[in-house]
Amino acid sequence: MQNALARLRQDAGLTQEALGTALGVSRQTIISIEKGKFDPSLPLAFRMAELFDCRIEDIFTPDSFRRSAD
Amino acid sequence: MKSVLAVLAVAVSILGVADAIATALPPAAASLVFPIVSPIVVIGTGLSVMALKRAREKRDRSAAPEGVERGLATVAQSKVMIDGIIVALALAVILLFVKPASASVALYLLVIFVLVDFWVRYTVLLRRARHEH
Repeated sequence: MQNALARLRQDAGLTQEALGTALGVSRQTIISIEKGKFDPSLPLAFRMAELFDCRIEDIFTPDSFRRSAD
Repeated sequence: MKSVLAVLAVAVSILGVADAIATALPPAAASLVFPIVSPIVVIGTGLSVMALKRAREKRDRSAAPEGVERGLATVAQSKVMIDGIIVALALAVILLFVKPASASVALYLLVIFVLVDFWVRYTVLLRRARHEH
């Protein structure tokens, strides 16, 4: 799963720790999601979308979508 | 981790002091020392370690149900399950063929193995996740 979380976070001027606090998860979780090592649960993805005022699809893109787009 | 080790060190120290006191007392009184002190130390240590764990989890939100730590714990648990079955089978074979053998000691060993195996696997997975970044 590809994601734009790091870019959205930096645009919002948030640190990984601050984003973790806002979402109720650890900094390690934010790091793992940004690096694509961990896929968040649907409720967490919805909270991210709400926080950044965008759709879930604006944050996350399945790998299969990327391959077919290429 | 350091605070947990400190609690364990204090517990061991208290047991050491209790042993010294028991040695100095007459046999009738000495036999009462460990039955009184041991449960207090074991329960106190368990509660202290649990409180430290809860405080750490609250501080870094590592117990969040949607956190990566929960996912890593699930992976570690599934591997420990397989390890536990293998070790339980091995202990069962040992109990069948080795005499004298104690089933209660084997059960203690199995429980200790499962606990240690989980924490080793969980720590390795967590460190690997941290070092990948």
